[in-house]
Amino acid sequence: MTPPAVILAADDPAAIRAVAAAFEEEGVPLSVVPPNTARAAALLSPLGIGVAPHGDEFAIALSTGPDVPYVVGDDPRQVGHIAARIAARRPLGVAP
Amino acid sequence: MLVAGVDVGNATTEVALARLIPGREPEHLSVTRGATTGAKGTAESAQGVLDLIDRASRRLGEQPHRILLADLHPVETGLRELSSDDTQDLGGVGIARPVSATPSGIGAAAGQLIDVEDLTAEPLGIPVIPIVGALDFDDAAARLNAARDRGWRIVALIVAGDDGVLIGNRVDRALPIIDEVSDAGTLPRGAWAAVEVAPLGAAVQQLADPLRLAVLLSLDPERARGARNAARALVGHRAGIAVRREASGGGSTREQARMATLRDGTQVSIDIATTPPPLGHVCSVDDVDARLLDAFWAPLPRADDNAALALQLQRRRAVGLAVLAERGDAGLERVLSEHTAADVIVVAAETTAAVAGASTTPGAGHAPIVIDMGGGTVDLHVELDGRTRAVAAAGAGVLVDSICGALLGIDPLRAERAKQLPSVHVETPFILRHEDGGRTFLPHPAPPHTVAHLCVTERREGSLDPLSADLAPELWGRLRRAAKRDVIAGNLRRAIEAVGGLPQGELAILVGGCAEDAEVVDEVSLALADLDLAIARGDVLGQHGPRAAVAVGLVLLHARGA
Repeated sequence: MTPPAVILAADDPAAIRAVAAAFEEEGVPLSVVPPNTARAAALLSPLGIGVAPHGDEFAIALSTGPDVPYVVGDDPRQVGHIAARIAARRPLGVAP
Repeated sequence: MLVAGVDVGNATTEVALARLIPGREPEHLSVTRGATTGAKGTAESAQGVLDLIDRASRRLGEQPHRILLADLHPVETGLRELSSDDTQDLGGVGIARPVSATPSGIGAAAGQLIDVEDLTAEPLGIPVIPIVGALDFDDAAARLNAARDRGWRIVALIVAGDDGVLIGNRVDRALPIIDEVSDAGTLPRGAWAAVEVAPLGAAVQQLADPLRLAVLLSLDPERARGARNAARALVGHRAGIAVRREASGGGSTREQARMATLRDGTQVSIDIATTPPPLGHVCSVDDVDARLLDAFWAPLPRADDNAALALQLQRRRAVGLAVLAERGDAGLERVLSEHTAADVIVVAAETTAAVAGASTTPGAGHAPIVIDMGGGTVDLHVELDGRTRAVAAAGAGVLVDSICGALLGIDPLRAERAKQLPSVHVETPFILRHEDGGRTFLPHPAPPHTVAHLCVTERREGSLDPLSADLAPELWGRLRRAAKRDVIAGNLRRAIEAVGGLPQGELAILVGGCAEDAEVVDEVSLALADLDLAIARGDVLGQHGPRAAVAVGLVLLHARGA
């Protein structure tokens, strides 16, 4: 059975470690696949959320809606934290 | 002759321009509206009036010859949280209530605070609570595991960063670990401390119990009683830290509520547990430099179905207060006279003008009962059997704004929108949950910063204004309605008592900005249900809804007088 995970499409060990740490901290499952776009990763995710490098930054994409990144950031741990919280339906912890 | 009827309210100023020709009905030309500048009736409020007159006149190509005002009584509204001025002696116990969303482990433990770097030394032989600063989680876990192997008795952990679960997973999943402790660096190393992490969805039990807290911190029975304030301060939090400090001798002070003085000389405390006196009984209030016609106060609404929130709100001792003063300093008339060539005339009381304006509602005829619910006051005008009774009760829309703002922790402008507009919870980027539990699927994802937040929503624009208050939309909707019920419907009851009651079966017309709010209309209808009144929203001149009744009424009264 495929776990209800967010998909990270990346191969850089440091980036994978940072994103995975954020997911572990939030208690949200993450699966890692070979590099691709965040949208492609989102389409593979049972939760409809994908994360991938995006130029010099990292992007979160959703499997539905416009084909543009939902969130872009330069810190993989922070981007992972946001993606995990979106999946877990927790506030992002950013003062609105 | 061109005249301008001007209604300066606490929140909104309205100007009705009309042409008066003797022997004819007034020709109503326009109604303009803007935010009131400065306190109602003061010189500062003249700027808003001048701007509106200028805007309307430019459109018309003509300046008014007369400016018609109502007899204004300034209203001052504010909200004070008495608890914010309280000082509490924590009995020599320092506390921290981290906002950690993801602590690790469950349970309570006590030990000596030490730096994680100190674990390289020989074990102390007593329980310890290491503090982890800017250290990678793998590195921190390795040091902690090594220390445990060497005999250190690590009973809990305090982590500065958001690494609690990561470290817990590598050391001991059961170990209570509090992370995101931003002031971890200032915790006193060497002090005895207690840490508790409650299960998900629960709150600390042991630290919130003064005796158990005293046992954990090894306080003697004398000091245990002094620890009650510290224990109380930790109630409702999922994680907490308590640190034993030097015994303190200072006493707690509880901020005294302001006093209202009644016309018979007696005094009433303006506090959450006291009820405002009947309308017109208060003549002065501490710290308010004016002779008063009325004062009304209301606490934050009770969250009866949520004990934790009810306790939290009650502890704040927040009281919203509105006072209605006798005539102001005529600053508005003076400045208007100085800056325009028009004659400035005070035509009538606001309630009289409201009746004249409300009576232009199609089908109303002469309105016998008019309820004007504005920003500052709830005005009741009753004209039956040749007798006229009119009263103004302090406290209306702006007081509701203050209460909503305090509940949500937002400024008055956002609070006014939160009062008027529905709320939603953004469950996922594509799903909104509404106040009635219904769900909407969005065609485009909601902005990331709105996800999992309560948001005020403007349905037409589809905008979402995220709020930091951790309230479900169902609960917020109930609190918002309760604030309207407590202030506006509650004040209307005071007004009805003051005029000696209302006759059954009559027509009551609701005007003023609050009458645009369907929830207020519902609450007023409920409050008056036993009177079997025909309650209708005004539609001034058949085109302005419940707005501009006073401004249009001033024009009509002046035309009749002329």
